[in-house]
Amino acid sequence: MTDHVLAASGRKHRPGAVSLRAGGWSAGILVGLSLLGRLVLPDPNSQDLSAGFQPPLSPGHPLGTDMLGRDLLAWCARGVTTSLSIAAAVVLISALSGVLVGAVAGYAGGWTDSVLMRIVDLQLAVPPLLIFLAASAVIEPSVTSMIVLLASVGWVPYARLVRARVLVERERGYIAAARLAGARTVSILFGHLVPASATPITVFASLHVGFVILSEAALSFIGIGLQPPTVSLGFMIAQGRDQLAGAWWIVTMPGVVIVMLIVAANLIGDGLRDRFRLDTGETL
Amino acid sequence: MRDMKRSGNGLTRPAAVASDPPPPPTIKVAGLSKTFSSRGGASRKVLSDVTFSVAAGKTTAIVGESGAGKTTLVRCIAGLERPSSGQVLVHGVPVRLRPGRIAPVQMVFQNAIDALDPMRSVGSSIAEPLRGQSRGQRRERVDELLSLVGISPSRAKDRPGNFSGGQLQRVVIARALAPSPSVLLCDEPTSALDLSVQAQVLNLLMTLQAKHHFAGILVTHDLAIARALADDILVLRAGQVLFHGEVGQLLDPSAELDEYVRRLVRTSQESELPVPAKLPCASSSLEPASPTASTRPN
Amino acid sequence: MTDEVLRVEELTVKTDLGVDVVADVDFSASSGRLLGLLGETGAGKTMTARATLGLLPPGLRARGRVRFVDQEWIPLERPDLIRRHLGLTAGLMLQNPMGAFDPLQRVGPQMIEAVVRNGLMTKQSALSRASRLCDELSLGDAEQVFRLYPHQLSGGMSQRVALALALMPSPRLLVVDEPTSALDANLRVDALRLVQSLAQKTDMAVVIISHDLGLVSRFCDEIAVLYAGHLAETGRTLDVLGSPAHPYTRTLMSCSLRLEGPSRTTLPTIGGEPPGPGQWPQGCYFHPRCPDAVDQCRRQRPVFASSRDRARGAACHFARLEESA
Repeated sequence: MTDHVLAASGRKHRPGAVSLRAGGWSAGILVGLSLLGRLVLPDPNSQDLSAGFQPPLSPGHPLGTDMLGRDLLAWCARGVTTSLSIAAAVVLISALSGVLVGAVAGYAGGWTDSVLMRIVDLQLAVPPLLIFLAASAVIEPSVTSMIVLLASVGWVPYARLVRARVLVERERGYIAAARLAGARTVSILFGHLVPASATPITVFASLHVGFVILSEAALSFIGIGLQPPTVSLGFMIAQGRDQLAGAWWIVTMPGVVIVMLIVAANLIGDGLRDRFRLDTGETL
Repeated sequence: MRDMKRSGNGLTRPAAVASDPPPPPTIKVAGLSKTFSSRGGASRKVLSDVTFSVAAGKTTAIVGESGAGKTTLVRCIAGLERPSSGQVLVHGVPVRLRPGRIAPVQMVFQNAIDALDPMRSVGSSIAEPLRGQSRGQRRERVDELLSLVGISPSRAKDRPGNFSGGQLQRVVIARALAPSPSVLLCDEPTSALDLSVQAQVLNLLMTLQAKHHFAGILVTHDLAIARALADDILVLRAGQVLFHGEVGQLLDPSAELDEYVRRLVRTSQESELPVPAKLPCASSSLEPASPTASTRPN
Repeated sequence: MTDEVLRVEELTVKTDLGVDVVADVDFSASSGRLLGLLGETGAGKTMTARATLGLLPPGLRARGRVRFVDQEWIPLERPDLIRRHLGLTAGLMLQNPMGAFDPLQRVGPQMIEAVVRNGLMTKQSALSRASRLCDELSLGDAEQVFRLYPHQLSGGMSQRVALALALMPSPRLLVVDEPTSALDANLRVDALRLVQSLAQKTDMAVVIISHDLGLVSRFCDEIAVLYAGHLAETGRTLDVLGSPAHPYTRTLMSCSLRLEGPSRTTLPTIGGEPPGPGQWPQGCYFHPRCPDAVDQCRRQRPVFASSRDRARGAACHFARLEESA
């Protein structure tokens, strides 16, 4: 109980508050503006060859246009939604599958654990880029395929995180008590062990979001990712790659937006990590 | 064993009729052994042939220092671990934990904080062993159990973080009693508690046993606690039982005891309060400070 | 002739947010004698000891003053000044003996590191002192012990090695924090007996922080009982236990279990639980649990009163303080 008092002492602000607030606000503004944009702004894919290469602050094009006259503000706004929805889907699927694998492996131990962890090792042994390149040769790039690919490599860290946590938690008294109480394995896994891992999962997921956004942008940049009519920030950066000297805004605008998204996600992740660390007295 | 009834607890009991056989013990531990083998081929015998039984309403204490094998013994009795040989029988049935089946041996743990899920309300934890009951029935039983251990039922929805150590231990006891177990296994139930709270929990355990007649097994390193709670004491060292009998025998200077057991008794006496506690009656202390006292200069 | 090695006055500890943890505690330790700071959870004994040594964790502030041997008073608000004495005049032994050691280094170099670095002795003399201490503490072949890594030491050995480390600079004061938890009963008793004989031999003052009434009563010459951050009672152990002046001391003693005694009878208890920081009751902080509490106890906080020769003191409206013999 004294620890409780000491933890609360001398801290005028709850830990992580600054990061959380900053990240939360940035993310909120970005999302809000992009949703607003969908209502107000023109179709990002609409081309107007006569209005190509307009610099920022041109009439009707606050962020300029690309070589085909596509409005960059509309593109960035739609790009935010694309990036975030892919990130959300990937993180959700990765987390669900990774947590399941990790929890089962950690609790069951023995052969189950060994087999599952060898699958994890296999997954880790192959560089993700290789997987994507191979896949892109066979599959038509789309939002769905991108989600599937990113999730197929994304589940691994969750599995390891949860397994590590479960290995510790299953030795605790309340798990023994649950077994004595006749709780079924599923109850113990999802009623006790997974919630106990909620903290590290949440912190990791928020950082994972930033990582997925970057991955998608990079893949679209090198051409094996999303393509029009899907609006991707990475794609636009690739478009502007050769125009850096003249029409620098084609690379810079989507680039800045990507940075803002990732920084927001990381701020939230950092804030959550700091907040939870002191609550539970342990690190991620 | 002499069959003179001890009136140590102040209660008078009717002497058993000579022809009545004693009731079968609730729990019987027979020849329990456990060997751990590590990869190098080296094996460690943690328990050797532990045998004892406990009848309903009685308590046996298992006393040992660290490394004696207490933890392994506790796990084997509860069914959390399988012994290498030997059996644990409750009402003649071997103890075997199965998901979906409530264990006949329930436990009170050393560290109450560790023994409760920090994310669940205490009411939810207490209700965990109440399988196959309706929500209303469970709620009622939880309230009943909380009152039984001296905690207000209105606190059922609070989480463990809001309780003190002593209160948490009571919650753990409430949960252990929820399925009306035949055997209550207490693993160092008071080591983590303050002295002034320790006696409360020990008294609670005794009261509950008198009421519910479960067989009690108390595992502890403290001989004095064993003496306070148990009818019977077992001394464990390196997995072997060095002594099994009543407390009186331990203190009897003429008894034939293992040297280790003697040393254990001696150490226990050396760690005690040397002066017998005086309990002046209340009225004698109600006098204002005498003139010889002086307040400290400020 | 006992010299005073440590005197602490008006020690108060508060959190940054103003929650009181310890209030107005005085105590002193004399050479060759053991003082027991006795208290349950939340009583403030650990924070008292930490404040005395300038080792309060962040978020806590101390007020008051401390004096080592016959030097100048140091305000407790200046832990930096106090800490200069650590490792020189004052040694500390932690609850977890292995907490004092770097697990990646062998024991030997760690034993001599601090004293050599502080310029107290040359490497040679440090080594010979360390060997001598190992002898005194029955650690066997010093050379062998020095070659070991901390994790290779058994429980009992690690306690003694940690003690040797604390004793290297020949401190005038040794503070031992909860020498009871991590060890078996016989090791605890051995360790305390060792500390006791060393204290007498080297005229060192010892302060033992503990919740274990039995141990403190056996090994400490003087006792200071803490409850709810306040001093409940002080005095020579024999006097305090023989005729406790404070109801808390009295009732605590009656809760202490003994091997000889009836089995299966209701044990004497104190109802309720000790209050933690921020939960101190109004009036006398013990009154909710005191069997003798009356109206005055609810309304008025008792002042800590000492007997004329300052050898005994208690904070109770009804304390009777006999002069010590």
